[in-house]
Formats: sequence, C-alpha cells, structure tokens
Amino acid sequence: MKKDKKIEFDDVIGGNISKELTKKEHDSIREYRRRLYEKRSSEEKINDILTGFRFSLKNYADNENPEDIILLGQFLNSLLKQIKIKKGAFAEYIDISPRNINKYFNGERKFSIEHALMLEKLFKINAEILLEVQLKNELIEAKRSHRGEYDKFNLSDLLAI
Amino acid sequence: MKVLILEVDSNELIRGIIKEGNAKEMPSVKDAWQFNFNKHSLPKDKTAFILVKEDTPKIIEGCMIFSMHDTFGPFMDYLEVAPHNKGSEGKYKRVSGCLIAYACGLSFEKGQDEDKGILTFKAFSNNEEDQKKLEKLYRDKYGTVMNPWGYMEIHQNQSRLLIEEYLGDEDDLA
Repeated sequence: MKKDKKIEFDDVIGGNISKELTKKEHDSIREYRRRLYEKRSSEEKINDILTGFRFSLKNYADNENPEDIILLGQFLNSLLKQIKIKKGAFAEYIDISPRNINKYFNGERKFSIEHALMLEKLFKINAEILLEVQLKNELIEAKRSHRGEYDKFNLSDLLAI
Repeated sequence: MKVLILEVDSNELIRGIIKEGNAKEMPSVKDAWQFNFNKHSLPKDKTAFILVKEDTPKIIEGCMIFSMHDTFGPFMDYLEVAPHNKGSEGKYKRVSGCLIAYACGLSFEKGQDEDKGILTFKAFSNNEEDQKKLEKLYRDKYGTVMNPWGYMEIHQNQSRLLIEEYLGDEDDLA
C-alpha cells in the first residue's frame, strides 16, 4: 500500500516574517523578556551560561576543520567574564599563580590533566572535551607551521631499513 | 557538531554532522525544496547550517537558518528537511529535531542576559485552523510556548532537554 507522502509538521518551519515589529511591540517584548529573566534564580542563570559554554566547546571539538583557532583559554576567559569571576581568583582556586594565568589563556602554557579534572568538577564538562580542544588546537598549529615537513615519513621506507 | 539520525528502513541510528553551509552549496526551490536557502543565507546577519551524513557529506539532509533578531535575540528563521526526508516515506528521521536542538544550543551560546537559552521562531500556516494545530504539535513535541505576539519560543529547561535528546550533550555530569 502506498504511504501518505504528505509532509509532517516539523518538515518545514518558519518563513518570511510578514510585518516588521513596531517600536511599541519591540519595547513590550523586551519588557516581557526582562520579567521572565527576573523570575530566574541566580543558579538558573549560571546554569544557562554553563550550558552555552558546554555547547560551544563541544561544537568546536566536533568541528574537524575550524576556520579560526579558538584556544581553550579563550573559552574559559569568556565564561569567567559571564559568570563574573575574576581571573586571579580563578587562577588561585585551581592552583595556578595569578601572575601566570594569562599565559594559560593565550596558549603559552597548557592546561594539565589535573587542571582539566578540576574544571570538569567546576563547570560540569567532561575533562576529555577540554583536553581534546587543547590537543586539537596544538595539532592544527603544528600542521600549519610544519606544512610538508612530515611528508618524508612512510612505512615502506621504515620496512626497507 | 556530531549527531545521530534515524534511518527508517533499517531502524538504525546513523552518524551525521551539523555544520555551517555556504551559499553555493545551499539548496533552493529548483532542487524541490520549499525555501530558497541559497538566497536566505546570503544576508550577513544570517547563518545557515546543514545536516549531512558522515558518509555522504555532499547530500544535504536538512537546513536551518539562524540569526540574532533585534527584538527576540536567538531566532530560527527557516528550517526544512530535504525532500527525500519529508513525510511518512522520508528516509531519515530526527533531522528536524537535531537542527532545532542545535539552534537551542546556539541560543545558549549566543543569547545575552534575558535572551540566553530562549529560541524564537514563527509557525506558519495558510489558515487559522491549521495554524492552531501546528502550534499544538510544536507544544507537544518540542515543548514550545507561544508568546503574546504569536511567536513560538523554546525556553531554557525545555531547550536543555532537546539538546540532551538530540545532541547527546548536557552530559552525564550535568
């Protein structure tokens, strides 16, 4: 029996917004959003920020060919700004000298496995994803700066020795 | 972002990827799609995302256009699954769910303050009765709420559930 080919309700969503919102509508929508936001607890607001942090890291980790390199430190720096934690306080909390924290944020120094395990507990994100982002960036940089340098290596040559 | 879509024939989950698409590869009405994604993705403030299977990266299974709306913040302008995935004869399911969940993730990443984690979109239909049905279906399947101005919204807690279901995030630790 031939199945019904009619499209399903979520096969197509959206379309042109037929009319522009008026200033009055815009203002009342913003007011509505502000009221919703005020009802959210501090904990919920931080949880929302953490969800965005986790999503952006996972999205980046899954991207095989990112156009721009985003350092793990940049992700963390952005998160700290959003949850209003000072870099120095964060550094001390995870046993990094506050004087050196910028070196971690700009990639000059690498976060260790121990750091990743601390961050896992703090921000509820797998340490594996954090380290994956860091390693992935190192690999991209190495490939870009040593282009062709490793082409000479092949198994046949090794077997012929 | 890695996702899993359901192959209807085998009832197996298949690996897929959601990634940014460029205007040149976007489908249009000429390819039997309802929307001209090639044109709709051109404005600088719009970003198009495509869902492809890992083993057939040239075949688009679904498209979605996301933007930051001046009033609503995170906004899903268009979403459509490929013609071969539409209806009860569609080859793959979960395509729209994955794309919606991805847009929810973007709403947490890109939304600021009171808009963070709220995804807005418009349910369109030709007549009022169908429109009501559509809104009910969105409510039942995706937990959307309609705001007083007739736009559908997916709020934070529901967004997280969709992310968990379709993107496998909000990992075990959360």
